[in-house]
This record gives sequence, structure tokens and C-alpha cells, in this order.
Amino acid sequence: MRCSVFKGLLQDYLNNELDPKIKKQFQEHVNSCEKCAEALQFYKSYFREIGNIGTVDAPPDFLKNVKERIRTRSPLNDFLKKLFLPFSLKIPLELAGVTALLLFIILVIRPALRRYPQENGPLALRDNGIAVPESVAKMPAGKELPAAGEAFDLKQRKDASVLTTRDKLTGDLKKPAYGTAAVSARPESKDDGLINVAILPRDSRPAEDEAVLKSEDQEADSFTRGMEVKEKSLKRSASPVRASESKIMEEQAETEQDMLSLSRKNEGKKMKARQAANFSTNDLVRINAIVTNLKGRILPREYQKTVQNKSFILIEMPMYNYRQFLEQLNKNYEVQKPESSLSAQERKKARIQLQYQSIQK
Amino acid sequence: MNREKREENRRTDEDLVLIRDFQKNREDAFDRLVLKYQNRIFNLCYQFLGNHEDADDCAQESFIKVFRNLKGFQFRSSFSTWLYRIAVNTCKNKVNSLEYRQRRKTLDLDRPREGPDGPVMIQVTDERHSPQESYERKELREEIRKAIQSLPAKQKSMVILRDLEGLSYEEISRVTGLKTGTVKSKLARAREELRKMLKGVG
Repeated sequence: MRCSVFKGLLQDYLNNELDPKIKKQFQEHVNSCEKCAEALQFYKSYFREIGNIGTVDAPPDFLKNVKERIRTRSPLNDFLKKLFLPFSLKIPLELAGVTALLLFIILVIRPALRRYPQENGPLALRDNGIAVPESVAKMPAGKELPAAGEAFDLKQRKDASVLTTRDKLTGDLKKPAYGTAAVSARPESKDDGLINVAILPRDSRPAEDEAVLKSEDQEADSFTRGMEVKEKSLKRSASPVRASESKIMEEQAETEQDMLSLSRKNEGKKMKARQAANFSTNDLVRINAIVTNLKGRILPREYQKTVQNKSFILIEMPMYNYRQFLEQLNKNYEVQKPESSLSAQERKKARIQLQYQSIQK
Repeated sequence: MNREKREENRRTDEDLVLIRDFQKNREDAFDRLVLKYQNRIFNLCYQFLGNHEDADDCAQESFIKVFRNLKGFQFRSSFSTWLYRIAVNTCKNKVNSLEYRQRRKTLDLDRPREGPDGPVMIQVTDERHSPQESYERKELREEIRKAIQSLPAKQKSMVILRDLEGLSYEEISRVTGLKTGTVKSKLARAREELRKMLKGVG
């Protein structure tokens, strides 16, 4: 018999529940194994002594006390005691601490982060022109704008977060290839209420390109073809949203090339396309000033982390200031705006995707 | 053996009569139930909690719960099983309560306390044993009692119900709501724990 078997049988042996044959084997093992003999010896003395541990009787006035407590304790007291029962439960301090920390994170830090997400988005600029991380820049902006503050209530904030998450999923897919013509009025933009506006700085535009840029229809033609190619390539992947980001990027690059070659063919010798370009600091200062004056703010965009493209910014402002915003932009930039969509106008808040463009040389 | 069983049945029948009487609003029936079980329940609480004060409180609390709920007693189990379950749960709650834990910290039975004439050892003595019993055996009993005290509540209730109160595995299974096999294995583990604690003692 092995010691493990002995251990398993020990309690049965002590209860005298062992089969005589096994009992004999058991005793043989005890005789040969010192350790097991010791264990058995302990249990023998344990049972001998535990039987002799005296009992304690209830005090003589026990019944009287019970009845007294029944009489004096009102149901209200019991209710109160039950109410505070959770405090008398045994909760280890560590667990309590961790729980408190989690609650703090969930209730306090997360909502705060949702409002001011910290990320490596484009630099936002304060009115005084000092470049600060966008998340920091927005904090005073929010405080300065009572009307906007009202507009950005909880629900709206949720909207904003939905927007960024959705953009993360679909933004890369939806984005037209850079380097080709404008982003004007894409059909998808009507669904998410995002208004796509492209701007081109007036002063930077080379004079010789004026004529070229007027032939918008041709450009649009090349754009739609580009989109067709892109759609085809997207259909190739069964679920474009789930497809890994790198794959999307690859396809995007592919499409970009397709479209580039397409547009080149189209343009012939004199066509020159607009190209998505990164916002310069001066532009950001200027746009930020306009947006802030119009009770709006520049939203951070999460997908910029992966795409490394700073040619887009997202702007949020009250819808009634949208027209004024375009007018002010128009002073410095050539603005290409979509035809006004109904679903976008019904909203209280305009969300604008602003693309910065320059002329491809 | 048969005699014992008959005695047990008689007692159970007596309980049922008393409960029915109580349900018919005869309050003296409750008194008789308390008088009948008070010592057993008090002893159970004492073994569980290790001091008279808490044992008294818990035993009283258990009977108050009985008083409150006896009207709805449905005779699905014997009264004693039900009473044991209430008492064990009350004791477990007490052990887990903040008040009890804090008191145990300040009033540790093993630790000498400062009295007016120097350190005073709080001793829980058992007067039932004759003085001629050897000192070592007394010592061993005390060690066993302390070891049981320091077991976790679940293991403690197993050891107390089986080894001190002498309930059968089936009864313990009814009191704790565990299967008989589980009771056996938990009890074995609790005893093994005691053996570890008492190594080198006695």
C-alpha cells in the first residue's frame, strides 16, 4: 500500500468503516511506514481528546434574555441592521481598494478622457498662436464657449466618440485617395452627417494652374473612375471593416496608384491635380481661430495615428455657424464644399471634415 | 442502537408538536424549544467563536431568528437541523463581521494582556475535568481547541459539527447543504489542517 492510498483510507479507518481485508493491509502499512504511523497516532489522540473537550452550558438567564431581546427589538431596528449589513461583511482591504480604484477609473477618468482624448493628433493652436497638443488646447476652448458648452452635452459628447470610433473602422476605407481631386459631396457623407470640405490656399496656387482648375468636370470624372476602381478592390475583401488595417492601407496604396495613373492619362500633358497636403502651422492657427470664434472646436481623429496623414481635420460647430464658417474660410482659401445635404442640416451641430489640398507639381 | 433511534424519533416528534403549538400562537411552546436546545446551541456558538460574550450574542440571535421564522416552518427538515443551520450561519456571519475581527485583533487569546498586576493571561478553562488528569492531556486539549478556533469558518463548522457536536455526515450535509461526499472530503482536509497545526504538540 502506498502512502497516498493510506491517506485516502485513513478517515474511513478511524470511522471503522474499512473492509476487514483492506484494514489488514492498512495496518501492515502502518507497521512499515513511520510517517503514516505518526499520522495515525495523531488522529488517535485527537479523537480521544476532542471527545473530552468539555461543553459549555448557556447562562441561566438565557431564555429571559432572548425574550427580552425579542420584545425590545423592533422590526425597524432589524431593517436598519439589514440596511447596513454590507458594511459588516468581510471585504479584504486590498479588494476594497482595487474596487474603489476601478470605480474611480470608470466613473471619473474615462468620461474625462472621452471628452478630452489624449492622442498624437494634429497640433491644435490657441488663439495666441502657441502650438499645444490638441487635447490640451480644447480645454480652455470648451470653457470659453458657453453656447458651445451647452451644445456639447453628454449626448453630443457620445456622438463625438461614436464618430471617432466609426471613423477608425470605416474612415480609412471611405477616404478617397490622396493626390487626386477634391472630396466633394461623397454619398456616404450624407449617412454619417459629416460634411466634407476641401480647401486650397489661394496664395499658394500657381497662376498657370488657374485654367486647369476650372475644368472641374474633368477632374470629377477622374475622381469617379478612381472611386470605381477603389470599390472593386474593396469588394475583393469579404468584410472590408474587419480586414486588417495593413491590408486596407495596401489596397489604398494600390488604388492610389491606379487613380494616379488614371488621372495622369486623363489629364494628358496639361492637367495637374490637386493633392492632399498636410496643414501647415499657420493654416491651423488660422482655422482654429475661425472655428473658435464660431463656437466650435477641432476634434482629434484617432485614425491619424496609423495613417500618419495630417491632411484632414474634423471640426465640430453649431450648425447655424456653418455658413459663416465657409464664408470666413473663403477669404483665405478656395473652398470646395458639398451640396448641402438634408440630413446634415437637420443636425444642431455641424461636423466638418476639412481636407487641405495643394496643387500637385 | 434501536433504542437511540427511538429516542431520537421521540424527540423529533416532540419538536413537531411544539412547533405546531407555536404556530397556534402558544408562546410557551417557544420557551420549551429554547430550554431544550439552548445548551447545545450555546456550546456550538462557543466552540465557533471562542468566548462567552459572542457565543451568548450569537445563540440569542439564532433563537430570535427561530422565533421570527418558526411560523413559516414547513417541516421539510427536522427542527434541530434547521436550528443548527441557523446557528452555524449566524456564527459565520459573526466571524466575518468587522466588529468581531477587530475585537479578535485586540483581544487575542494567546497574547498576554496588561492587567493592574502585570500581564494577565486570559484563560478559557474547562471546569468539567477532574484535577487528576495529566497536565499534558489538558494542554493538548487546549491546543486542539485553539487550532480549531483558527481554522477558516467553513472547515471550522465541519470539525465542530462532526467532532465536537457528533452529528452524522448526513445531518451535517443537511445543515450545510453540501453533499455527503463533499462533507467527508472537507472534513478530512480540515482535520489534516489541524494535524499540520498541531505537529510537535502532545
